[in-house]
Amino acid sequence: MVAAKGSGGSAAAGDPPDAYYYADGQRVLLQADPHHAAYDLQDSRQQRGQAAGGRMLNAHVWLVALNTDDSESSMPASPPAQRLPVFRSGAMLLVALPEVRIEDDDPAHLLAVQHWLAADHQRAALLAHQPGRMTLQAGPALAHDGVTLARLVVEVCGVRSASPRLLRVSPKGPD
Amino acid sequence: MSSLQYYSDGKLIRLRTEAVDLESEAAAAKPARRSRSGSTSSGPGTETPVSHAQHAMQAVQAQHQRLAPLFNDLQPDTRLAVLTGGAAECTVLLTETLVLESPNQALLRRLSQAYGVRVVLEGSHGKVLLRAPQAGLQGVVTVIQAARDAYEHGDGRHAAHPNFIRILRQRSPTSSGRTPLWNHLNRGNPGVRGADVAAHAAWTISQGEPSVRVAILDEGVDTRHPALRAAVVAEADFVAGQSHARPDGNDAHGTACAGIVLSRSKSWPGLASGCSLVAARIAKGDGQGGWVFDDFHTADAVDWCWSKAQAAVLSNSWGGGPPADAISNAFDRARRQGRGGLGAVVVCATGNDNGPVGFPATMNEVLSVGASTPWDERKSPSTADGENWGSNFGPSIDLLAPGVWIACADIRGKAGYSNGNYTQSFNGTSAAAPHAAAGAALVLSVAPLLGEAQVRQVLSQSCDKLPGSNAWNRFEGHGRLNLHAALRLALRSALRSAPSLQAAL
Repeated sequence: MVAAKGSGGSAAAGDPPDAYYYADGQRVLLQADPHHAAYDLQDSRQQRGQAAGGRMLNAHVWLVALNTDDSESSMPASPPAQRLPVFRSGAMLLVALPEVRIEDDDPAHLLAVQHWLAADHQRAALLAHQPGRMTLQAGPALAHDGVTLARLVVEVCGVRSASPRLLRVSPKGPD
Repeated sequence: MSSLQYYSDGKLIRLRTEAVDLESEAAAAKPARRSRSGSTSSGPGTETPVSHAQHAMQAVQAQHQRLAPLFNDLQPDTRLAVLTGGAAECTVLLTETLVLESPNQALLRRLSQAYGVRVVLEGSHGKVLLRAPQAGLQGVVTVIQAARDAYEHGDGRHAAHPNFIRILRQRSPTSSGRTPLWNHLNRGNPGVRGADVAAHAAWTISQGEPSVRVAILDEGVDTRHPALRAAVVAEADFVAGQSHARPDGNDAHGTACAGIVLSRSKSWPGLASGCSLVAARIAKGDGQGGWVFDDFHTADAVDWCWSKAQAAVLSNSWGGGPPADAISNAFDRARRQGRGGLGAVVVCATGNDNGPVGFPATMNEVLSVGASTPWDERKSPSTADGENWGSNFGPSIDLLAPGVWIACADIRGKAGYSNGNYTQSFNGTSAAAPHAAAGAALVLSVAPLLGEAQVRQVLSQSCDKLPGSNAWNRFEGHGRLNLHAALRLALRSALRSAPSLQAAL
């Protein structure tokens, strides 16, 4: 988990915050998975993902198993590749994309989000805005971390609902 | 036979016995197979009734070499056979040994002096096996008396009972003659008679109306499948943005789920085959035995199902991991705004970990569905079917529905669960949830003005309680789905909520 940067609820340097977000008003703690890494790659890099034994989760995101004796993947994450946080929940792996969906019927809360964004454009970009709903993309001030962004807009702006965009990689059932 | 009683869980258990000379039975059962009534076989090809006791004795004889090291002195001589269970699926052979749990020295001395029983084996956790000095029937009677004595003079917390040899009739997945559609109408193979959703009886009331749309949110549905294509009214792909919801490669799960509800095959019918299919592709296989879901896509798919596709029922055979408000909010909208405000019914599988119910089945106002077996049990890793998984449980569970060896549609061709267009072995709460979704669709077919909460209530209240249960519990919910009872209750509920109709009748 990459530490949050910038002001407005971020943790001090060297003191990474717990990874959590809110669902139904409750904190949902996330446990980092040290055995996998996820990368948002350009299409031209897909062959490298396959070479590293990765799993293609969507058109851009690859999940790679890390070597047990190495904290880094055999697939370097040089720009423009972006490393994404990976968490584990039971047998399920969760890859956090940098997007957050906010839902709140109170316009004052959404306005508070806009003000918070305006205070530092590096926190997040506004991707979409409909009545009662906003979609944000975490920016460099938050290390492109959607989980942190989801947490902060609840804690700082008081929105009712902010969900990080999680890719869930679940083992199939009995069949 | 009043002396043939022992204690279990503080209660006296009376052995329902037949004093059977097993040696004679076994001999009689051999070449000239004699029935218990004394009549002989009438010739080749004629089935002669043979008691389970005879089978048991034959089994003992056949396996004597294997069993002997385990039971030391097990001999195929005259014993008592105790037939248990209505179907006599278990024969209990009494032995000259008894089991005590954590006996103290005083108790062992007392039993030794009074009955002559001696410790012959020490097991784990304080268990000991004692043997009577006599062989045969006299030894059997001695250990029963000694076991009762030990219990009555013990602290009541530790076991003291005769040591049984239990010979179970095999209930394996390969048992011949298994009825593929046992979940519709169970005649007792596999499992027990009546452990089904009473589909045939329900269909005398309704097989579903086309106006009732059931959404299958899954890894895609083979919408060109011959049993499904006529039912399709809407499809969307939230994974790859294609114009259809058909799956990739070997992704067969959604097609099986859709088949359980909506198959229009005469040989492999769905439970609500008259209803219509909405297919929403929200996941894909990752090629390594896993599924990949995207929370945002899932939430958008839920909203599309109840709004644009006008689904009345949303069937969700997926779940697990942490909750997400984006998904919960979409389900809430479905329940509140679907069907013009009457609400769409959201059905979710509890999961297959034999542990706590997983999200989204943890949500309070969805129908949370676990799996039952052909033996009318909650599916667990130890149930008779032999499948190594268990139905999740917890405070949010509403009911169970069949989830083992379900026959249903399979993606066309060699991919999928079978080489053909159908499979007979779909498993999991993934199979159970579509049963309940079909139930909701049938209820709405006969009572379209019921609110979604009323539909859930009808399905829950009309469940058959599982054996040994008389109220909701966190393992079985309200019991096993009964579609016929649900439709009857739905009709009564509709009548009550429509006074003008009631007056007209």
